[in-house]
Amino acid sequence: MVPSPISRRSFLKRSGLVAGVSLAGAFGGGPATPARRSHDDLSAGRERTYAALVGAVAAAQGARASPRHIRRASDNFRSWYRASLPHVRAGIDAILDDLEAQPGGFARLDRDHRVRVLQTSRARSTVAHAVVLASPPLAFDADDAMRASAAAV
Amino acid sequence: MLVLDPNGTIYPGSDGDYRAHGNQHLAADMGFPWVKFWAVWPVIQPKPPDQVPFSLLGTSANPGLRNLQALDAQVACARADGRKVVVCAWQFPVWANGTAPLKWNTREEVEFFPQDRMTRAEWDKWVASDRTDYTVKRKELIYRIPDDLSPAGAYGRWIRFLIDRYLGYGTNVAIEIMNEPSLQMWPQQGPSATSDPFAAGRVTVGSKVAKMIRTAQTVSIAYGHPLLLLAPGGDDGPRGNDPVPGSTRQRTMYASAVRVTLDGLDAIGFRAHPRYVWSHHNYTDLEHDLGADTGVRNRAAHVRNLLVGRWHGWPQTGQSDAPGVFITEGGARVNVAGSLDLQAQRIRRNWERMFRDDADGAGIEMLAQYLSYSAPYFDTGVCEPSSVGGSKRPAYDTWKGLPALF
Repeated sequence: MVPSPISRRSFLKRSGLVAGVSLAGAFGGGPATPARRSHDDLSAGRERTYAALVGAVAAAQGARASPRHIRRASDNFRSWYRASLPHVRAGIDAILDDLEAQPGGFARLDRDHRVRVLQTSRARSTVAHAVVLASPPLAFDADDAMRASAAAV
Repeated sequence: MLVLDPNGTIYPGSDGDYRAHGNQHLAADMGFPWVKFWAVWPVIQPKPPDQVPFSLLGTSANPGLRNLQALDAQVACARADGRKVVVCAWQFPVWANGTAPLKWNTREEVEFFPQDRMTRAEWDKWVASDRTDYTVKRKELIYRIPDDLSPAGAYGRWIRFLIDRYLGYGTNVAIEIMNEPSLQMWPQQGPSATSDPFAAGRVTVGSKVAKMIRTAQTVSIAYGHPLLLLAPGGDDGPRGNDPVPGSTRQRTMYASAVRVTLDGLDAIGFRAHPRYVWSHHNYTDLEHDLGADTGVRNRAAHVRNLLVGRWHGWPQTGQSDAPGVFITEGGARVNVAGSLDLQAQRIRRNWERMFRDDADGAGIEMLAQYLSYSAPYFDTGVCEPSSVGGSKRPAYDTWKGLPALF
């Protein structure tokens, strides 16, 4: 069940999706260390999967994704995850776990193999939602968020 | 109307696919007479017409064939089930809008009309990062409105292609010719009137939308208006700034968007055909419980009022005093409504307002539920995410218990 009501404003502010919020500054940047992770945090394993996903989606789309970019994207995602409601976190956990369960373990594959997994996996819902996770939605003000585009890979 | 996730076209077999994950049963069980699918233009036609002509999109020469076939199959399946269908034309391929030379996550891409794609704060963040932070929030290239919106241009031919492809279904299929122009598309405004490029300019999105509306009707005339056309599928935000204006360079307040679109249509002497339906989205109405009974203006009703005397489309014939509006997207995000029970309650309360023939419901001829299975970043589903089993939420039973009037 969902806990107490949460406003869209507070949700977006907490999640760092409000345009203009300096995410690295607001949340400290850098991966959470084991000692700093709480039960609301993305696990270290899922964070590795997410980082691999961001790189693979970028590569599939012919875009640049330097290690610095992946680290920033992962920081932002981790902040958003931490602020999300429990049922949303559970859904994300399942998506990342399904992706990691691909033969070879998604995060351990090289980038070309990861791209092939996204393009050929029979788990189309997992891939579809994973690609969306790699593309956070826009939020132009504190009240609204534009849905993320599900780009093709 | 049940609106499925665009992933149903982009990733056939995913939980947005009408044929997969029990969506057929869900639509029937909840009693939705209509379903909505997505003609994702950059995915269906990734190559420009000089490489793959429109006439060959249905062949193996088209890299997007599989996606087109998935859309075709879902339309056919829904019709076989007795459901009417909306096909929404969404996004613009980069070859059609002049952004093909740009590569995502490069300095050239980020700095391409940044004032129309990101807030000043995001721009400042970009600059402060020594122009290395590619996580800055910005509109994607596929939302840039093409310069050529004429019937002979790529957009006009795309709409012609969709009409031609689905005209055999007659008015059981509707083509919605765009999606949320005042939120997603760019630019919204002309150049800043000052030396600051991020400062406000004249709102221009209305005249572009008007041209798209006219182009679709022009194309449709050639076929004798076989299908319903829907436009503009406008969003109803932002939540604040009530009353109008409240527009920025990145988005145009819903009521301002309606007004400037109607102004744009007047400027080109457009008069809508009786099979042209005004479409609108109503998330804000649901999520914030807006209506005469709560003392805060219902935005769908406001939009409909703005159309009276100015829009001659469906269901009228030559008049403009009683326009109808299709709500083609709507829903309540759980995090905004506050709980699963409140999500269900907001759906019911909005339905009760909209189903009336008077007050806030006057002229509202369709309601919509966006998503069967909830999505990670948009938690409006009537079922939990498919990744965790997709169990039914209270909102499911709410829809199931409502009469299938829309």
